[in-house]
Amino acid sequence: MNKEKNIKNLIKSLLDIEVTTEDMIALHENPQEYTNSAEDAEKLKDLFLLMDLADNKEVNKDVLY
Amino acid sequence: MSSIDELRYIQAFSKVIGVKENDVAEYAQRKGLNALVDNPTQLLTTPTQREKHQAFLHLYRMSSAINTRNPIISSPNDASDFFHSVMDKIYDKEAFVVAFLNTKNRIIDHEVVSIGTINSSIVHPREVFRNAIINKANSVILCHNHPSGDVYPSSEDMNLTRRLKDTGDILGIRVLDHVIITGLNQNKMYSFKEEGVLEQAGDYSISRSNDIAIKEDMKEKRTSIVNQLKTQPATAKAKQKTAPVGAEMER
Repeated sequence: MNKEKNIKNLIKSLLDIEVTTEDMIALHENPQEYTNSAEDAEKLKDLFLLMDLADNKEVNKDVLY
Repeated sequence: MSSIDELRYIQAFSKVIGVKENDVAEYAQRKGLNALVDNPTQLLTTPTQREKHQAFLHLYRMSSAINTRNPIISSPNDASDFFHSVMDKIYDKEAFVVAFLNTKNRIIDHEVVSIGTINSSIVHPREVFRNAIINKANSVILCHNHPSGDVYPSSEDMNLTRRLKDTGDILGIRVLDHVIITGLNQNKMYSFKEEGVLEQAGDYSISRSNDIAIKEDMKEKRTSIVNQLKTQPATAKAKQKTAPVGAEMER
């Protein structure tokens, strides 16, 4: 996978935290398991909250392609 | 989205992208909440914020792509894949499943309407559209399987599809497609949409022009129903007048 676009690197760029898996579902369901501190897990939760809310809002994903 | 969710959305965006909450709120008020993700150019003033936003977009796209439970359906093949995942356990029996979609063609939910022989007396429009209304679906995709392996539709399948399409048009819930799949050969599929039986062939458009065409069509049908209802009282009165005569004749 393109190094710049793998999940670990993207999360590092976005939240400045290290995660120990590339599995997005696992990160979403159990952030504590794959981060180094409770504070990092909270940052990850904020990210997934934003994604969930954006999904509810049904943002136009065409702009992403 | 409720006002509490809107506030949570603004706060989460502020934390994740690193923009002041007040600035995010003001931008959302001016351009709409969608603009935070779709068009935040004027909001993101530093290279770091822009890099973070790009990273967020990549992650968001990845997250959407792996959302297998509620995928976005944009073609008959997407629909076939989804229904195979739902019907794999019941491939040896004929089953009728309906998927409910939102305005972006994302599946909200699905329902197995019937298991057994599929005919119009079992798959009634009220069974198909009841949960579509409850789920506030914008459109539905119908699917049934042919355990025999022959995906070609019967005349009963054709009639049922037309009946459900007409009902959907009146309710304002578009029947996007009706696909026939088989559990024996997963590559074989019949799409009423692809074959041109349902409107134009091709992918599932979510364009406004289609919506307008459907609304116009619905308007015509509603007008026709209203006109029929207007004429009904007169007919009913006429029947009431003739009923005693008829009754006397029977005696």
